[in-house]
Amino acid sequence: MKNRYGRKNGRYVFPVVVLVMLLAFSFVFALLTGAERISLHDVFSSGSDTDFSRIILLNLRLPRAVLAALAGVLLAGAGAAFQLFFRNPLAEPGIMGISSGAALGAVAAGVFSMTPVLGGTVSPVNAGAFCGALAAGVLVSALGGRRSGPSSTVALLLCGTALGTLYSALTSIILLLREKELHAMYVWMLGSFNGRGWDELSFIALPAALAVILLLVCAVPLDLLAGGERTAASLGVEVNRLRVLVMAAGALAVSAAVCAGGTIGFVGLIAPHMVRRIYGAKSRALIPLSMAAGAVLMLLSDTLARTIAAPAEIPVGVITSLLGAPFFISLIFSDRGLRNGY
Amino acid sequence: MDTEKQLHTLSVQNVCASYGMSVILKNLTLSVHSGEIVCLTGPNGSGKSTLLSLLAGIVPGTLHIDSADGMPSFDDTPVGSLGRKKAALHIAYMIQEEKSAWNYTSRDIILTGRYAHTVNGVYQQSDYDAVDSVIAAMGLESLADRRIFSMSGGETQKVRIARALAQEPDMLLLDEPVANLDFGYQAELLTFIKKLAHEKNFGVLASIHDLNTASRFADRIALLPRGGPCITGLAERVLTPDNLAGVYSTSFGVFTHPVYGCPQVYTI
Amino acid sequence: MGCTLMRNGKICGRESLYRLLTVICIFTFFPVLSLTAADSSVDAKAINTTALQAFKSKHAERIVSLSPAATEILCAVGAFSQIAARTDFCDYPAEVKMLSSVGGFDGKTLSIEKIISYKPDLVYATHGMHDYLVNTLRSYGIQVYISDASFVKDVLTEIADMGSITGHEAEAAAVRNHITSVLDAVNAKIQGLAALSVYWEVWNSPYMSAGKDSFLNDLVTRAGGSNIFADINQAYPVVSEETIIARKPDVILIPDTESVTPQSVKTRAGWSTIPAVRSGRIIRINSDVTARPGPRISDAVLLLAKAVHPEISFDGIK
Repeated sequence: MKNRYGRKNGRYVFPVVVLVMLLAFSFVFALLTGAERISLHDVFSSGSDTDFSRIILLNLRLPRAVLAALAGVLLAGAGAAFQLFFRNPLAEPGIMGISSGAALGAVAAGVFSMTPVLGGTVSPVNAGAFCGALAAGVLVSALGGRRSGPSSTVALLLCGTALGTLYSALTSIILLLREKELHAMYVWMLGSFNGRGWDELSFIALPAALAVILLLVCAVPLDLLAGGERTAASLGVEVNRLRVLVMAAGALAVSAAVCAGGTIGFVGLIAPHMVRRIYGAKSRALIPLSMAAGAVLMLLSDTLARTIAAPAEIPVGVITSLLGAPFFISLIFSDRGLRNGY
Repeated sequence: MDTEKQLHTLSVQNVCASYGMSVILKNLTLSVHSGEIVCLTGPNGSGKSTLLSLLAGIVPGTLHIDSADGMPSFDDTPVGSLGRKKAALHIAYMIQEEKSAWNYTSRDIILTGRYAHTVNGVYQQSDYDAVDSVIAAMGLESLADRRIFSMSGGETQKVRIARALAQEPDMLLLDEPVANLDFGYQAELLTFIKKLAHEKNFGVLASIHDLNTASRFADRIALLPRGGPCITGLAERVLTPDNLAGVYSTSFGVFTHPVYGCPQVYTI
Repeated sequence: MGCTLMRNGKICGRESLYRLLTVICIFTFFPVLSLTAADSSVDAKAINTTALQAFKSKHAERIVSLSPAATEILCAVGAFSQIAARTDFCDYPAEVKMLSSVGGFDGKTLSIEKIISYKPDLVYATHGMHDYLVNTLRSYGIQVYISDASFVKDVLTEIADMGSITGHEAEAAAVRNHITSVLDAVNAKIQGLAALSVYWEVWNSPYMSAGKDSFLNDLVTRAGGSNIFADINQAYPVVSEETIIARKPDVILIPDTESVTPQSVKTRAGWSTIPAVRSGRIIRINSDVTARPGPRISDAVLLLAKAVHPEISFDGIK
């Protein structure tokens, strides 16, 4: 008898292949494009370490591309996980107030001028962002996760929203008190990978890896949440444990992503929708496919951000918003999107 | 045919449960055994859903269990102590209303029933085969690759039952499984479940609103009055005018079904 | 979920129309809103001319100064006693601390009521920060002078204007002469020397520098340097790291905050080929002096000149 799932591989191999190819293309595009012209020939033939093209490619573009791709993976993965967990297509990584916490941490660190952490490798602003995000994640889990059962999810959302608003207010107050840094911090909060490189990468490597693993572990159980928490429990999911996992994974992912590139919006919201729009609701595969889509989105946005106004750079958050808003609106008109249930 | 026919029992003894001030279950004792179909019936608000969720081990946090000589147990092990994945291997619980947040295909949804059988959530070929056989057995081929948002209430119900069956449980707890279905398909489905239960030797506790349907398909009936103990037994014993009047506060007449010989009721 | 208005997989015509209208409304609403809301483009030149006319005979006696540079200019021309209030950030010369404050520097945190409570006859504001206050203040009959200094010569004009408004023309002229003489002396010393390329790092995360429209750009040029980002039109753009390296600045100027040190600049990946890094010419600049388009710009230019051309002696100029 022909096994219907004999086509299972066909259903999943195609999107994976397409996304991997897109990812490879975006990565190469990011390496080859930039404010300054470099020559690939020089990179490979020149033996000198001080060759300009080599420096630009290996020291600037390569780590920046990896960082941008990683941030995209983290934000999109967290976004997909939150959407699945809260059963809400508008959920995105900042929903728990974690990005606002990151901004608060960054502003506090940048304004109260700590000496550079880790012997000057990571700027205090980025380290502050990481700690702020993590602290926000812990706080919202502690406050909102008190109850068990379906009311816990609602409590989490309310807590997260309230705390996020609080952090934003505190951030504004600090910026008002220290107007000298206002402009610079505002630019930071728009999100940018400018000046980020191997140092930031080594700083976030561990939490990022942990976050990715946790997110992938959650992928299948999150599927089972589609029908509600009681159904998920009846199918064998420990919902309380899953909640802890998702919150931990989300907090880690957002912390690492914000440390890498500041608060960049839209990617975490859009990537899962892009995957759903093109491939339909994808059981089990939404999180990994979203991660790939997020990486592509971030790479392309960052490449655009640093080339279209060269030698100046536009904050990458602006590009992602400009790309994201029309895409979202196009969802309204898409017949296929409607059929897939938007 | 299974060579090892292990017999299981899902039971609860003398349990009292309440939501805040209102008492839902009082001195309730019920047990379901492998291979038997028990139909749970009674008026609205008598606690049928609560009882099912209690037996499944998935109770809302607001339910307060006052006392029980025997907590809901699967073969002498309290259901609450089993752990969700283990419990799901033995007990499948289908809730009354469920709305899927995402537009998955029926096949994907039925596949999630196999989660408890997986190690770390990785589905094996055996899981895919099990799904295929359930789809074939229930005649759902035409629905299999369709997406859930485009399906009617009745079709969704069938998919959910298929998912519960894919779990290959020892006990099947169904909350109003045939509520949205056409009469013809009601009979067809219940016959199918009964046959499967006898064949695979799993127990079924299904809450069925309609007394006559319950009577037709049950091996045993459990009649649950509001706030009172369960009246269990064969349909002939339970569905008497006196019992029914006491439970529903209405006069009933009972006659024997001309074809199937089971008691059928009508209101007077 | 699921659209209940679907029939045969296609959305009904009317629904489609409503959605289209919604989108059009969204896209036209915001531009229209911004057009009507923007009265931020005030005509600084006209307003300043009006102010100058108004104080031709009777000089301003109660001036509210809204920026540190403005306060310094007023004090330099000898109009300290004519200042009614200053901002929190005004700290030079030391005497100004005795004056009461109207609050912060940023237009958004200033309260018009607070300003008016000092019964000023002139408010000395900054273009870009206090534009939205201007029309309101003028409607109360208060004169406004708007400082818009992108170049050193603008500052000189401002000093002259303030001298006229406060009745201290002579002192103003003296200040201008001093500044001009310092600038000329510096210019003489660097005459004929090749301009060294300068990268002025205003902020390090992200990298921000000074563009064509910025005051810092003009200072650099007068100090014998050439700003590598003089081709960018914005005042303080975020700049590409690749371009910094590509344009090989001879001198790097960094702000005097703890988070950036010459050592930390040297260790940046890929920066080792930059001439400034190789020669160690990474200099911290006191941003208070250089960021204020006021009477101390001569000090600023001198400071910069010494940093850019350490081989030249600028003794005797002050």
